[in-house]
Amino acid sequence: VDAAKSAGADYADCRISSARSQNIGTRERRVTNIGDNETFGFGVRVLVGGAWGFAASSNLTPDEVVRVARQAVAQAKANRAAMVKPLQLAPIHHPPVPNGVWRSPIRIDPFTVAIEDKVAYLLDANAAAMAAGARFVNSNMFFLKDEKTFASTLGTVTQQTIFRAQPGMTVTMTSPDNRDFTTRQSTDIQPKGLGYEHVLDNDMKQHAARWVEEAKEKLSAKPVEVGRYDLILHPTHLWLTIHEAIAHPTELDRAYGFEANYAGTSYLSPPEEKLGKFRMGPSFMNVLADRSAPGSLSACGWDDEGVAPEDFHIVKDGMFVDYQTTREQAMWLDWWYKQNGKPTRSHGCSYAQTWADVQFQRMPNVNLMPGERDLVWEDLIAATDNGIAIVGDGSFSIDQQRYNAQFGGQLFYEVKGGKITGMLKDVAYQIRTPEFWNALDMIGGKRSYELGGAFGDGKGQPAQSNAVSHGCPPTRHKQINVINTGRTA
Amino acid sequence: MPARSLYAIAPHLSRAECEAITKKVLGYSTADECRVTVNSGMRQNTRFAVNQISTAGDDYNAAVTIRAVIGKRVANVTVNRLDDASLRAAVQNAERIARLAPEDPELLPELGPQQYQEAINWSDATASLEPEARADAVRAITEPARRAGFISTGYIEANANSFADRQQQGALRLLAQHLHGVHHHRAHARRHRLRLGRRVGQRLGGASTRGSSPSARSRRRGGR
Repeated sequence: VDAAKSAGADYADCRISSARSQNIGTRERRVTNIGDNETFGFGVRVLVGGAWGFAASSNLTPDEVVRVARQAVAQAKANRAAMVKPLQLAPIHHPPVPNGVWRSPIRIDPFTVAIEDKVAYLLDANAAAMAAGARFVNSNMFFLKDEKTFASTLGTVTQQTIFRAQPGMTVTMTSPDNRDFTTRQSTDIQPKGLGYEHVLDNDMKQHAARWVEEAKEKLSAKPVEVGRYDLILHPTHLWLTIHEAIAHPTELDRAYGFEANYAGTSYLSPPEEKLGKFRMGPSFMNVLADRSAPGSLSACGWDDEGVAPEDFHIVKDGMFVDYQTTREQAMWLDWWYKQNGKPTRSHGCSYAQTWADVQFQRMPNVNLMPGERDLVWEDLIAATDNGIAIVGDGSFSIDQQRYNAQFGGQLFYEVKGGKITGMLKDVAYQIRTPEFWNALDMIGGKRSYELGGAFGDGKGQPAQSNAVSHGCPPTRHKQINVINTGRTA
Repeated sequence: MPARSLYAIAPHLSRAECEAITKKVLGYSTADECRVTVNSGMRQNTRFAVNQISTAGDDYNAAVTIRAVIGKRVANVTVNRLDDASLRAAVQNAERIARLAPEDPELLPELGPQQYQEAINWSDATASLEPEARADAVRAITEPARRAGFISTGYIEANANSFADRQQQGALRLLAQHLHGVHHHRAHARRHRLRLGRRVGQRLGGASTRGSSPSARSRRRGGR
């Protein structure tokens, strides 16, 4: 940071990161892969005359640190020549943090657990699935421990240790004539910002037989009749629809066209015509973003530009009211915040996947908040006369503006007269995003709220992956178009 | 990595450096088979959108991947700290993990000695694609686009790396050691991937070039 400042930076920050990841994969009775990776390095980001520069290296020596800092400054000066409008950074809403420390709230560091134990866990779970009749079974674990230190010219120095864990299993069943097959993924165990206790607390061996039985039932289930149905969506399914159809289109860089070359734009654009004017859903619909939920994938103490993230509404009482922002982006909405008597400040959404990547706006946890009534999954089913209940996320497709989409799932249940009457297969629903959320007419309460999520939320060039959770209760959406994905011409 | 000037051709480990690293790693190995891969170099990129540069970066990395095979048991470990202690620890970690891994009945042996031709895919122009040159290239797109009332968005990336791969086999590893190929100077540039959309307020009429959902490509560990 000092070298960058000496070279002419108006602002500079530096991240030093040591990240270790481990993945273990198995199939039936054998291990398919074990990988252990460590990457260490630092990245320097500078602002010179309103233009960014960034350089990074794995070679943390005094000479290389100075070279990289100067390289970042030289790059910013070059970029300034192609600048249209100098960027500005919004002030940070808290004083500099000179000695910040944050750590994921874990109980067991996954890297202290022997590989032997992890392999035994997976093979035991596979054995349970095979004993229950699975034709094929794959299972895996992935762990991350990222220790990163951040410092900026503002005087902030933070040290954070972030853990993530993802156990998973897929069982496959085939028809007796091998002409059809189906899978059941372990979507009721979601990835979390936790340690090895997440694996132990969700014993796949205990669930495996049920997943096999569900796959068997799905294979012989009744194909869905196309038409319009009331959909009851379980949190293990709905988190993905929230991710794709609320979280992505409310990224401010997408709305202004800065992701047009890769991730896409947004139907919530231009902001001047949408903020405070666009009705996303019914008045009981509230979408709150956070990076504070314990065990969530996006949780941190400070984002990658030293801002303590805050909880903020994206949708308030059904109205679209805010985007996800960084310090640079908050200034783009200065007019909106002034209009509403709010301070212009970042929501703390800056993130870089590694030391080698420049930080930019990434999604926090974006959550659909529970309703006031104490409703649960069974209440929504009991209140539905002709519907389909969907559990678990599956394949999907969505356009680059996040406007037209199609979602599958893991399990589909026919609901008649307030009761589940059997399983269906080949179900997918098609939506236009605003119509889908405005068709929301029932929502679960606090008791039914769960966190889903994913690693590998892609954006940016060079492409970077983000990890993010989405909390939600079950919901019901009236008269949604359902197609049959198994039909052939 | 030795000190270098700010705008020298992008660095990567030389053949001699790769040979030294791979030899050192193989010397640490006690596995039945050990494969060492060294990948080093620079990635240089400039991104532009709405007719201006949005992000840019130059990053250098050098990583070593060790694949240890003990009987029918195998494990991979990757590190990018290249000091002796880190490399030795990585070898020990790979062998420790391999010993813990159950046997893989489908594991195939290494190919054995191979002949590789010298790679000829190096370009000094790509390897020295400085930030100024990238900014100039961007301006050559964005300024005419702006004058014509279009919005341009795109990305320039140049990579310059060396890749080395070496293996040993059996108890006679030091004697049987052989070079599997040190492929130098792999470089390529993806230039000027350009998308134009007519200006309609702040919206873009054009679709993204890479599909609507980079997150859709995989399921459990993949993207969303």
